[in-house]
Amino acid sequence: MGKSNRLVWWIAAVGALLITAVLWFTIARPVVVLPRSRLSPGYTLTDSSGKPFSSEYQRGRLTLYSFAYTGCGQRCQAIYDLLRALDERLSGKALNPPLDYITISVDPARDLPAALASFPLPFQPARIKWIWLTGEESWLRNVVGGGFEVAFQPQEDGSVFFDPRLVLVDGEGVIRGEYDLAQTSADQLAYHLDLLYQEIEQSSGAGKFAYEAAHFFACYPRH
Amino acid sequence: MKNKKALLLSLTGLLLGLAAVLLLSVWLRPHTFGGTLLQSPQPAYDFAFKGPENRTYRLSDFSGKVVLIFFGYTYCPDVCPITLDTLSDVLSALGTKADRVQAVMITVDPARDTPQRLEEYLQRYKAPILGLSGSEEDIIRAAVAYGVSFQRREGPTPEQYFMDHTATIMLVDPKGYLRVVYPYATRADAIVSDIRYILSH
Repeated sequence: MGKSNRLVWWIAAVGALLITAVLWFTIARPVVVLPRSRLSPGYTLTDSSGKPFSSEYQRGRLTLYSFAYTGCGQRCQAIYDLLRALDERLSGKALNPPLDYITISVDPARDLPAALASFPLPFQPARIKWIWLTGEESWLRNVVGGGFEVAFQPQEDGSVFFDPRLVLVDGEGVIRGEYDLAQTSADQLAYHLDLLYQEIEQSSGAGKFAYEAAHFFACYPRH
Repeated sequence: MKNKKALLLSLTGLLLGLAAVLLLSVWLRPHTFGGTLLQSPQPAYDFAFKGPENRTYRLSDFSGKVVLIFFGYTYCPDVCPITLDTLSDVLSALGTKADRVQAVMITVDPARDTPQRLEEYLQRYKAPILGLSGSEEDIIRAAVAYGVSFQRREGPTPEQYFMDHTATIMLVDPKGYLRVVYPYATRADAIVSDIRYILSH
């Protein structure tokens, strides 16, 4: 075998190895990540004490956003049940950085800060801080309707119609998961949070390349 | 003698092999971005604001260029001048490639920042930065879309109020997709390296 022939073989072998490695990475998916699809909306809303609450406060923390209103009653029970089940699933987990629940009111006309303050939380989470926010109609329409893409509309009977959804946002303000309530379980949310915590913990140094590759090849969870 | 030659040959081979591996790993190493990378399936929010000479500027006007977007205001005491310095440094460092980059500051204080005031204020920076203003409603809509919050904070007099705001820089690629978000105080060279990468791929 000539020298140049041997070189060709070597190059071919390295190429084949690379292609195999890429195929293995995309098929076996040793690293699974939640997509970084878009930015979570920026906002300045109001908390139950009447103080401004900015999306900036959540920088460096994970946030699970939900949407409800204090006069919602039984109609919102399924949302609270899911949040409670997730809180129970997370007992014993390190939660570093911390995870917060933020519920944004879709009834700005009646949910003034005082209404939020006198509203007893549907349950007391064991591990997680639960914040309720309201705000001026102009911000809420843009943040909830435009940013989180949760349509809401007051009804004639005094209720508010809205899409019950949850949105998971990372510490950089990027949306990492959007969930329709009817198709979401606490197990799925806990699994997705696990993935996010693993990524935060392991994507430093050389691990970063594996995670960036997983993003590049869209190695997203199948459920 | 024969042994010595064989040893020399295998050593050279080993060194060449190592050099090849090193070169390959440098070539194949993916570009590391200086901020948070996004893989958005939707193009970035297409704003329309007033700029110099009261002309309307849209994000889509800059299609084919990298657009760096920053939200700030001209009475901003520290965060905005620092970020505008960074943007200016980025454009200067890019040299002729700066023709393919547009830096934009959108005001979060439309009550005081008219397009004219923005234009005058931004002239103090060595590289061209386009100042844009609009109605509060339009600015809220754009801020929400770009993950920016802002709120008024009272100052020493009613006229000398502050606007607290998110100070990220957003990079929109030439195809109009939001690609990278840089946290406040990201170094100019990190942004320059990302822009060079995006323009060459």
